[in-house]
Amino acid sequence: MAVSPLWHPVAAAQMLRGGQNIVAALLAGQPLALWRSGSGAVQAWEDRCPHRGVPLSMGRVKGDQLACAYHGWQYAAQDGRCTAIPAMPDRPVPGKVCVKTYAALERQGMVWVNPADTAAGDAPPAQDPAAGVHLRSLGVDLPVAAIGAALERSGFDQAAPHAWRGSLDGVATRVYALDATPQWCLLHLFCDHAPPADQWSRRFAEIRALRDAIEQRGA
Amino acid sequence: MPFDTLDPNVRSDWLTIGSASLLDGCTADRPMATRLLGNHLQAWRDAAALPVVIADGQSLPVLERYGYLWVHTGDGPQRTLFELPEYDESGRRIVDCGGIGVATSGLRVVENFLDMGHFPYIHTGTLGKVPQTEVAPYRVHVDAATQEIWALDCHFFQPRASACAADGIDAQYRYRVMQPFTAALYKSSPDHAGALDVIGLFVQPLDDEHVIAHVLLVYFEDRLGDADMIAFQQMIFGQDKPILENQRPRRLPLHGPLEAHMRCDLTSATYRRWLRQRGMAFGVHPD
Amino acid sequence: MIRLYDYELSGNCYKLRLLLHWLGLQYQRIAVNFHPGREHRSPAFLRDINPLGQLPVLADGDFLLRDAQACLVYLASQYDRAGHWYPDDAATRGRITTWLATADDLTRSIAAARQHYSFGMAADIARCEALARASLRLLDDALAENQASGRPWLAGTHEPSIADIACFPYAALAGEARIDLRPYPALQAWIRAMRHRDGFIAMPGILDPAL
Repeated sequence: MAVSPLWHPVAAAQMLRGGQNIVAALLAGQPLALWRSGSGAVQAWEDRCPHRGVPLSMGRVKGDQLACAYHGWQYAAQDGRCTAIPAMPDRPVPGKVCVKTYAALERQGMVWVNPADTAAGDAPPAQDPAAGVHLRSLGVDLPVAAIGAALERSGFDQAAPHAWRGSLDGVATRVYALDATPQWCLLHLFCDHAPPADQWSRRFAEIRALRDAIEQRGA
Repeated sequence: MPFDTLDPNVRSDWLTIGSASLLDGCTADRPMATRLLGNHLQAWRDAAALPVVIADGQSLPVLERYGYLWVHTGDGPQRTLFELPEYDESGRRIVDCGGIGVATSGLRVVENFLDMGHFPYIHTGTLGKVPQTEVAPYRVHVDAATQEIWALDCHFFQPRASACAADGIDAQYRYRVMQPFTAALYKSSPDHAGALDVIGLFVQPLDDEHVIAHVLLVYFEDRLGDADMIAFQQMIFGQDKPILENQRPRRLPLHGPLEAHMRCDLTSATYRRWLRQRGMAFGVHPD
Repeated sequence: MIRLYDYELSGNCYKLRLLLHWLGLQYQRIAVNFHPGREHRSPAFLRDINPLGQLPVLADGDFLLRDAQACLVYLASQYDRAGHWYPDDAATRGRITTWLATADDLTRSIAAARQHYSFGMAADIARCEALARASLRLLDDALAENQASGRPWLAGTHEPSIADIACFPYAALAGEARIDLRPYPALQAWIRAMRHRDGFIAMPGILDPAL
């Protein structure tokens, strides 16, 4: 079963807190608003309110709705339909006002988004839930096309589309790479176990060193 | 470098390049430098204290009105600049709030200025407050003689309608669009019963997606210093800025399904239709 | 009575408005006509208030103090009963001071670029952007590590300190300097955490989360 490259690793799942924050992400130049409704389902929406084009990531989560920052228009989780227009509270909302939504799912501690409208293909497999601690996500000044070669020079091997395996500080580490723009990509790093307290600093120093090495080699 | 548009809506009309006070101390050797429609301009006062504005080595027609400088960039006949009779009214206090750069189409800046639905969300605690979010119906028409847009009978609950307001009021508003890039708001004066304070918005288009938005207050007000009045006005504008700069597309869509209009958007719908009928191209999103 | 020489759109002035509010202190806000009046460069201001011609300036009785970071240190030292804004611990104060220096870099970079775009003030935009990105990356690196180890504030503390107040405004206003914050996920999470602190007050350009 081959995992389809149409699924992209946009954010670490733990970064989305149900009913709370909205993460502004970029997938190949396409702005996304990522959030988790109060009931827990992850949402990946075009980061643009259909009223006046304001990014939804500037807005607020209210339970299972997302409210735009500009005029407070509210949109329902799952289908992105507009459910409230505060300037006209007593009139029905026209059915056609809707945010563009994308297929999203959670696997391996990551949120994956498929931006294509056609059938998604095989999704990344689930991971043993006991394995995997998200260390950090960080921007790297390298286009995603150069990331693979740069990671391989740092001792990582490609394990699946957008995913590499290797070790950092002697510890097994996974790296997911997201194509953000032609100038930079977002890397998400996981290791199998949380480091002991006295090794946190060193692990994070190794991550910074890996980023610097990747940027230097890719340059 | 020539002007980057042939759109007669901007080339035949007067466009502001800022406050006349920007020419203070400027000479031909040390001119005020600014930009307009993608071009570079230099300005100063000549020996007779008259404003001179040069673009591409050519002198442009210039007007000095309402404490501001207005230039004409086209070859053809000049339109008449709008009237603002309140400016010369006795007892009025004129406060120039200066210009603030914004990275968006000037048409977006004007449309936001005309909008009340965002008051409780963007100007929370001053011009509006949740849950008083309903925009009551109002009237909009285009004046047959001047072709200007007027929105009348607008009102909105405002906890702090102006710098000196102490209590919440149901603020009475009128909106006026004089040109694609100039608008005015008339609001009931707290100090002078029956009179209207005027806020003028004069947008200087640097190019299709960058402007300097100038604001002029023509008020009946004598309690607060200029710094306090400017602070309030710039607070309001500063709150709008992140919205304006993040709207996509930057240029205003006049056709098509990109943006939805509701009944509460009557002024904005009228403004967009008015721009379409004038064949506006500059600052407009191509469909 | 504390007096603050203030400008509504200044992130540096906002640092003091924020701390004064969180300390529950009454104060008089003296509006200075920064733009278009350039009052901060007037002979009277240079002579009587601040020879550097900068805002904010804090007055507490006869005591006059310039520089936003210095004012944060003074207010926290003088008035913070709970002692979490500037903890009385050498290592923490050392760390806080490193972030006050970063706050100066943010002023030199993000604030300068923002003033260029908003008010037309001269700036070397390429240099501003390079310094801004280096500073934002430094913040994101520290915050990612701190968040993972359960002390999510800049100086590695459990509660925000003046290090967080000093760096917050211009990080949050990076968009007005035309810098994208999406490469810095930990920084974005920290900005959100600041905005959702109890009693947070916003400034123009930073969205008010409370509605």
